Amino acid sequence: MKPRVAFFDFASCEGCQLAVINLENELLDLVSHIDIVNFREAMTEASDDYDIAFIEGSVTREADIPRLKKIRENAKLVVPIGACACTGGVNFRKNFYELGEIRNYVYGESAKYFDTFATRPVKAVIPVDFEIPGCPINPKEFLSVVKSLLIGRKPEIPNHPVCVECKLAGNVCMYDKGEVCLGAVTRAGCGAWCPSNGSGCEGCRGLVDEPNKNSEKEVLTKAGLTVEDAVQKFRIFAGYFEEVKK
Amino acid sequence: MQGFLLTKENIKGLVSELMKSYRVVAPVKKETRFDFCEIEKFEDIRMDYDTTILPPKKHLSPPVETLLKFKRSENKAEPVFDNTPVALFGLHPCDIKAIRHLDQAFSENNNYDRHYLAKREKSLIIGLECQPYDYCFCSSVGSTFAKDGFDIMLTPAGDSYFAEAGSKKGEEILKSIQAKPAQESDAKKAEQFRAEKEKKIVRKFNKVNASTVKELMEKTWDHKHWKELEERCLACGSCNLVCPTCFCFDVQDDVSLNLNDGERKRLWDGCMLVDFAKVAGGENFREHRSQRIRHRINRKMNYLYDRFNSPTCVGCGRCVRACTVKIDPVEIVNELSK
Amino acid sequence: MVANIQEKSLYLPKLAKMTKKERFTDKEMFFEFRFDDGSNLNHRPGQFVELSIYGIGEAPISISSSPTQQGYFELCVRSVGRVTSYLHNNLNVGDYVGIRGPFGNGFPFEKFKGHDMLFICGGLGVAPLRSLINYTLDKTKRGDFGKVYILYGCKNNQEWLYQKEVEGWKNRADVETYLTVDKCTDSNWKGNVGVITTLIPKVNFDVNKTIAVICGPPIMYKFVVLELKNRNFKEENIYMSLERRMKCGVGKCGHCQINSVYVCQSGPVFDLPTVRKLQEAI
Repeated sequence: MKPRVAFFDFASCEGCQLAVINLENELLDLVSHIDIVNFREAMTEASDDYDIAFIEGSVTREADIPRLKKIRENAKLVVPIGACACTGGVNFRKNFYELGEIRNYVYGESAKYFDTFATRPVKAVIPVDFEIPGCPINPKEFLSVVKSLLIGRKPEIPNHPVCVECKLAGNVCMYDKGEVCLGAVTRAGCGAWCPSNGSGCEGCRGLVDEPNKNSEKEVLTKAGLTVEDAVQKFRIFAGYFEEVKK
Repeated sequence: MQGFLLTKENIKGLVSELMKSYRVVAPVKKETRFDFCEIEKFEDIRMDYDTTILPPKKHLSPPVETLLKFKRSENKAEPVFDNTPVALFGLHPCDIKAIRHLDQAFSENNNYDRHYLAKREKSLIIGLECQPYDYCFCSSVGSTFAKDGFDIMLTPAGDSYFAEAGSKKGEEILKSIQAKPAQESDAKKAEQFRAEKEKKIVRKFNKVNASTVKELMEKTWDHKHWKELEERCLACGSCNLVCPTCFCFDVQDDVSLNLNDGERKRLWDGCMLVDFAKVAGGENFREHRSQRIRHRINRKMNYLYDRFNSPTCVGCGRCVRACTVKIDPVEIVNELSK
Repeated sequence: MVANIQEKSLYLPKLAKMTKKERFTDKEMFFEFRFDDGSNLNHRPGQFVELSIYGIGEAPISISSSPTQQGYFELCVRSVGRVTSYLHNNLNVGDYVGIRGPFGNGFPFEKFKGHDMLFICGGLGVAPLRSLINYTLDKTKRGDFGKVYILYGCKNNQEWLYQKEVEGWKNRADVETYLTVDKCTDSNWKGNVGVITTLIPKVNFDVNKTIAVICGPPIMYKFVVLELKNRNFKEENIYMSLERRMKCGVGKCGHCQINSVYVCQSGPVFDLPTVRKLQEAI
């Protein structure tokens, strides 16, 4: 029997689901191995009977919690996809402001209609089995995780920095071009997407294990950023990490 | 062996001769830097390059290389060998020596790695004598000049190049392009070029040399400098990945979307990366960055010395260039020998 | 470079069929494999194989059976990574795996002849040592060795491997078996409680003619060596099998390197004087 797969979204731009839909050719091959039973972005039917749940988006409201718990109950495997779901993503920035203030700033007069609490990733609410980070996810990595799950292999997300993939791609280092790049402390898996296309890594996949925080700070300040700029740069995507919070 | 004198026109002739039977790989401009790429025309070659982003190794042992193709359902696998003839053109002496190291590493102990060797045996190496640039330090590790390891070696001699054959194949090629035999004065000009190169090398080990650096490394295992480097190093692995003598690899399986056909691939790996010495059970045998830097520098200067009868490092300077915090083997060795 | 070598890949495994699969603990399982052509693995005790599953990967696994056991070989595998968990969860008797090897030096048992043998096994370390233990105890080889002492420790009473065989060792008149658990989790347990080093003072071996062979978790070696030194054990009579990450098994991939030594080639078995020269070894 084919595994039944569901996609869910929380606070997000839905770009990760779009990345899946954009797989087009591969998607046809993929649906010969899986049944997609719930995918609001792509279909109208919806079922609560599924094996694997891919979740996009961060958790920003009280009402998200029971919904997530229900998904956890229904699914054998829960896999958050994208920066928002894995680490809070850009949405996590709001946690560096006073909640009421930021709510008023975003929603203005209608703020009272919008319930909100501190942004958190999916794993802060329910246990997750694997994660596919990135803003958006790398479709190739998504495919590789799905293939792994289908053949019963533990998916592996790289535990080395973007520099590795950037070197393998033979790129000129961003610092050689006078640009700032967070690749040295950001988890790889994107194939050094941004540097390969001429712009420095923004850290969307989150930090590697044991990043050398002090040294990275020095690299960034030498490149012309103030310490405050450097912290803000990391907070775009990596605010959830202890190293960046402080 | 007899020398030849090649004019620029002759070099062009040489390259077009090579292009008939080889994929010709040569230094070309890539944004602000240079890289070894397959060329389509002679004009793309930059004979004046300083160093390349990645070493020419990438054309003999590619960053990602398929070892086996398999079918899961049948439990069947076939090895994959790529022996497309490749001519590596314009290699500096350091990179030539590095390939000698790889040749040995991939054929030691009767363990012949045919995936590398099949390609290597069909390859041709055309060396090009160089001038030092901001990062290299070849004289400290004994790789200033290439005595062997090339099929043809080109050394600038005035407006032309003095060419020596280092192999039968090389000699045949030089003869086939009807290169003119060199005069003694041409050989002298080449000699002069090399002498000047040697004089211009400023980055050096100040207390040890290629044969004594090993001893220094053995005495400085517990040196406090390793801990100091831990503070700076980002453990990003860039130094490993741009190194012409790093040959460590990881092996990974890929399956296609039919979930049946797949490939077992090897990928360049680096001992500076956190998982390099970590076993599945969780134990990490070089957990700290200081341990990993010590391992890398020792591997380049000491550990493999007895096997290669020389430091493994060839002093190309790519690691320093690639390092965002400029960790530098020359500085390290000089600090350790203070 | 050597020309004229037939195109042969160092990385192409040979298929072996799983003929037994048995659960030992939550994490460890026992497997028996046979080659279809009936050939032997031709290994030495202490060597390892690269176990390969297409699409999943390869993992180094020490060989647990004695070469005196012909026609098949045995592995005791802990489910910790991709390959090992797949082997546990997805493969069954009748399925095939790829095998490369045997690799490594194995134990220099020729040198051990005429000596008493002291085996010190911690946890899964019993797997490679069992190969040598069963070799030593094999009726065709038993006369080559003197007294045999087996020290075997586990974290708790749920973690015993080869329980039936251990019982067999205990019942043999020519073997002294000492067992311990770090933490007792069985109220019926009457044996020793404490780490493996606490067993060493209980054994009455003759340091002049005993060879000690150690295998266990990385943390164990230093303490066991210290305890043996307390008993005036000669350094050259202490051997150990070391664990490292290994991808190729043929001295290329670099993961297993300890100082100048590639464990997959020069090891995994080392004597203590060699280990002393390798700063990173234990």
